[in-house]
Amino acid sequence: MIELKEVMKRYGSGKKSFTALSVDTEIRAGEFAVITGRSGSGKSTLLNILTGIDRPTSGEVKVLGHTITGYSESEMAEWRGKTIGIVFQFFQLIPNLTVLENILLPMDLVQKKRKAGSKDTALSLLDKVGMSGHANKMPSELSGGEQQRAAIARSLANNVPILVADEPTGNLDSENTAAVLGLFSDLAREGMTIIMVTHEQESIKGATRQIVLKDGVIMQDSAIMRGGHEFGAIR
Amino acid sequence: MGLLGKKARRDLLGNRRRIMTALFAMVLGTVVWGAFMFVREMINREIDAEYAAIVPASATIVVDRADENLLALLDRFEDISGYEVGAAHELAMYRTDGKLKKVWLFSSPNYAQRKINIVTSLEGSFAPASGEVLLDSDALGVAGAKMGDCITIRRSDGTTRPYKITGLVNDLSQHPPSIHDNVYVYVSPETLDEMNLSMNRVDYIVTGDMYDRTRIWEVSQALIQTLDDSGYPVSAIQVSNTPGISMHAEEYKGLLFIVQVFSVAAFLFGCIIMSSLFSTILAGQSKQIGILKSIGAKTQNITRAYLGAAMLLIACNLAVSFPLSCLAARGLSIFFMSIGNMKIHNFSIPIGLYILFCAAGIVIPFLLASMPIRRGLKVTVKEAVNGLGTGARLVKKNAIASLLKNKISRPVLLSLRGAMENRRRFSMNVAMLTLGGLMFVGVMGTVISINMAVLKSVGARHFDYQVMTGLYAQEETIARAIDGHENIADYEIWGAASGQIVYDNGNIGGTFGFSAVPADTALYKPDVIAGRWLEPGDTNAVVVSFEFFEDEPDFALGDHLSFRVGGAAHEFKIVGILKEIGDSSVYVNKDGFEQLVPEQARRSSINISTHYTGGRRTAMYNSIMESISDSGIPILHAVTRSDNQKIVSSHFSTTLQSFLVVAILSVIVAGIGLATTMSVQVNERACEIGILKAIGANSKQVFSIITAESNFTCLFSFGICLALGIPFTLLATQVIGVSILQIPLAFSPFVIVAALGIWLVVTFIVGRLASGKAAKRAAGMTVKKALAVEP
Repeated sequence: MIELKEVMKRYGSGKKSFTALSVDTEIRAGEFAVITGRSGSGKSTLLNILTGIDRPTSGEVKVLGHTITGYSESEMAEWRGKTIGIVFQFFQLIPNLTVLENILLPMDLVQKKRKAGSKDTALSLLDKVGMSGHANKMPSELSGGEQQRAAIARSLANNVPILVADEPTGNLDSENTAAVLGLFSDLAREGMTIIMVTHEQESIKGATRQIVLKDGVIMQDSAIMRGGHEFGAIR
Repeated sequence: MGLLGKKARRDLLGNRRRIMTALFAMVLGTVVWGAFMFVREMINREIDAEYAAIVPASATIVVDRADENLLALLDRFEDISGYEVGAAHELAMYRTDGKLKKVWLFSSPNYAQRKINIVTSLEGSFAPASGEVLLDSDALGVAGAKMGDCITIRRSDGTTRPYKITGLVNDLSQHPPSIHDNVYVYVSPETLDEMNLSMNRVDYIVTGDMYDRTRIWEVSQALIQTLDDSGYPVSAIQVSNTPGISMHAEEYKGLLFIVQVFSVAAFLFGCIIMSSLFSTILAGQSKQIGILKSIGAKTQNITRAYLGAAMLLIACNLAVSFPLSCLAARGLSIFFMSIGNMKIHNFSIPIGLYILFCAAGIVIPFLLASMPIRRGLKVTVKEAVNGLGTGARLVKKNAIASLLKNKISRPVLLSLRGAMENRRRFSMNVAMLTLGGLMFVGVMGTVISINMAVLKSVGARHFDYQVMTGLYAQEETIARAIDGHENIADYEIWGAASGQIVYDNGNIGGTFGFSAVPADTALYKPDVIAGRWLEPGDTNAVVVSFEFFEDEPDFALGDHLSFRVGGAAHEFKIVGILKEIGDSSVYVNKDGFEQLVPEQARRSSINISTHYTGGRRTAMYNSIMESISDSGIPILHAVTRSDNQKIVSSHFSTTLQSFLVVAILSVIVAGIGLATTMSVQVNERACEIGILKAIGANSKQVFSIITAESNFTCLFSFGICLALGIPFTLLATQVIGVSILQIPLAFSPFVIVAALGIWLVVTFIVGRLASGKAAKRAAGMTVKKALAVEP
C-alpha cells in the first residue's frame, strides 16, 4: 500500500549537510503501524514524507500504486484530501468553524459538488468518535480529548484508506489517550491503514507493527500481537 | 526601560514590509490632509491678494466711442476717483486647423501704466507694435498657438489678417479664457485704429467705499445718466456681484473646504492603519509580554516602551510627510490658481498652521496607537503562556455565518468567519471602506448628475454648429450659402441681440444675451423646470435659464421686467425657467423680437444640424464656414456641439476632479488598510492554512479563501454604502452640486444605481488588490512551513 523505496532526506549542503532520514520499507493495507523513537530520530520527517508534507531528497514514495514524489503542491493537496487523513498533536481544528463544519470542510475541499448525504456522513462520524452531542459547538468549547476526537472524525471525512497521526495523544490525559487509541484500534480492525508517530510506549497497544527509528534509520521493525506484545521481527 | 524599549523597537521593525505598508498609508493620508490644509490657506489668501493687486474696477461701462470729450466728462464727474479707457470688441480668429474661435480684442493706451484692472506682462513685449498682439497666456491652448506664432484675426469688416504674438499677459479682470473657449487678444490703439475699431470701454473706481455694490450702482446710474445726456449712450454696464473679490473666490473656498473635510478622513485612515499595526504587533507578542511580566516588568514600563516605538513611527511619518505636504501644497496651489488663470507668488504658510500640522500629526496617531497598546498589555502571565494551538483561539459563533451556513460551502463559510473573527479589525476595515465608499459614491453621484445635466442641457440643442453673424443677415442669403451643402439635416436662423435690464427706478442693470427663437423650433428642446416654453404669438414673453436668477435674484417666474434692447426699453414677462447650464441667455419669440428690436441692433445665429459625425462633421464645418463667409455674411464666431459641451463641462470639471481625486485617495488608503489586515490575517492563520492544505485544500482553494475574506469585507462595507448611499449621494449632490457649483440637480434613481454600481466594481477591485499579495503568500505556503509558524 505504501512503499518507501530508498527514501533519503538530507538537510544542509556541503560539509554541513546531514542525513535526517534514510529508510526503505513498505506498509501494507490494514496495518496499524506505530513509529517510535527519540526526539530527533526522524519520526516526524518520515511522517511528513509519507503524507507529502515534505519531499525526500532522493528515493521514491508510492502510495496505492501512485508515485507521489513528483506531485505538485496542488496535486499533492488534492491527493492528500482523497487518500490520507491526518491527526495532529494539537488537534488543529479550524477555530472559527463548528465541529460539524470542521468535518464537512474536507468533503467540500475534495468534492466538486457537495453530496446530499455529506451532513449525515459527518454526523455518523461524530457519532463514531462519541461526539454526536457536540456537532454545533465551536472548538474552543471542547476539552482537549473532545477536540482530538473531533479531529479524528475530520480525518475520516473523505472515507480515506489511510490515517496518519502525529503524537495524537501527546496532549491528552490518560483517559482521553485510551479513548483515542481505542478509536484507532477499532478503525484498524475495520481495515483502515493507520500510521501513528508516538514516543509513548503505552500508545503502541492495539498496533500491529512497530517501527523504531534512530538517527533517521529504522533500527527495529516488528509485528506486534494484539495487546502490545511483540509478535516477531519483520526485519 | 532601555532594553524594553529596544525590544519594542525590534518588534516594530520585525516585519519591515508591514511597517513600510503602514507607514506608506500614514504618509499618504497625512500628506493629503496636510497638503490640502496648506493649499486652502495659501489659496484663500493669495486669491484675494492676487485679485486686489490688479486694482479691480468698481464697474465697467461700454459706450460707442470713448473720445476726448467723454474723458473730459469723466474727469469732471466727482464720484469717480479714477478710470481707465480701453477697448473690448468681439471678433473671431481662425486656428490653424480651420476652427473659428471667439476673440475678445482689448486695447489700452498704455498697458504698463494701467492703474485699474491691471494687466500683467508674463513674457515678451508689453507694448505691441502695429501688426502685433499680446495674448492671455491661458488662451494659447484655445488659439492653438504659441509665443512668436501668427494668429489670423477676422476683422469686423470680414477681412482677415495675421498678427504676430509678441507677448503673453495675464488679465485677472476677465474670466479664464480656456474655460470659456475664448481668445483674449491685446493690441495697441494704433492697431485698433487700423481695424476700424474704437476705444469703447471705461473701467472706473467710485469714490468712498469702492467695492460697495450699492454705492457702485448709485454712482454708475448717475454716470450713465450724465453720459446719456451728453450723447454718449451706455450700451452695457458690468458690476460684479461681489465687487473687489475674485469671481473664483467663493467657488474655491467652498471646493477647498469640502476637499479638506474629505482629506481629514484620509489622514484618520492612515492613523488607524498605524493603530492596527500596533494591535497586530501586540497580539503577536502576547506570550513574550507574559514572560516579561513574569520576570518583573511592570505594565507601565512595557507601555512606555511600546509608546516609544509608536513615537518612532510617528516621527518617521512627520519627517516624510511634512516636506512632502509642503511640496504637494506648492504644486497643488499652482495648479488650482492656474485654473482660475491666476499665478501664485507667495507660498508662505503661517507658523501656526505648521504647528497645527505637527501637533495633530503627533497627537492623533499617538492616541490611536496607545489604544491597542494599552489593550494588548492587559494580558496576564497566565493568559499569555496558555496560548498554544489554533484550538486555543477563542472564537465565538457568528450570527451572519450561522444564518448562511447551510447556503454556502465550507470554504466560503471559512472566509466569512475568518473575515469577521477579529471584530475590531473587521469593524475598522468596514468603517474605512464604508467612509471611503460613501465619499466615492457621493462624489461619483454628483459627477454623474452633473454630467447628465450637462448632456441634457447640451443635448437640448439639436444642432451641430451655431454660427453667430456680425449683422442680421437676410434669410435668403443664408439659405443660398447653406443649401448648396449636402447632408444638412436642418437649419434655423435665430435672432440675437444684447439687452440690459432696466429697473423700476430707471436704473440700468446687467447685460444679457437675447436669443430670438422660433416658438416652434425643431432644433432646441430645452428642459423647462418651471413655467412654459415660448408659444407662437408671444411678443413680450421671455424664458430664462436658472442662471439668470443668480445675477438677478430679485426676479421670479411671472415677474415683469424691462430690457433695453436696441436703444429702447421694452417690458417682458418671465414665463418660463430653463435648466440650461453654462448660459444665462434670455429667450424670446423670434417674431416678437423682430417687431420690437430694430434691425441694426439685431444679429443672426445660424444653427445647423447635419447627418455627419466625427471627422466628417469637422470637415463639413470648415466648408460651411467658408460658404457663409463667401456669401458676404460676417461671421462673429462659431461653436460646434462638442465645443459647447466642452465649454459647459469645463466649468465644473476641476471641482469634480478634485473631489474625485481626494475620494480615490481615501479609497486607496482604506485599501491599504485592508491589505495590511489581510497580510496580518495570513500571518496569524498560517497554521490554519497549513491544516487546510493538510486536509486537502489546494493552492487555488487557499487563494480563493483569502481573497473571499477580503471580498466579503468589501461586500459588507458595500452593503452599508447601499443603505446610506441614497441619503449621502443626495447630500453630496446638494452640497457640491447645488451649493458650490450652483446647478439644480434633480434626484434620479439612475444616478444612485450608477454610482453604487461603479462603487461595487471598485470595491471588488480594491478587495482583490488588497488581498492579492497575502492570498498569493498563503497559497504558496507549504504545509510544513505553515504548520511550523507558531500561532
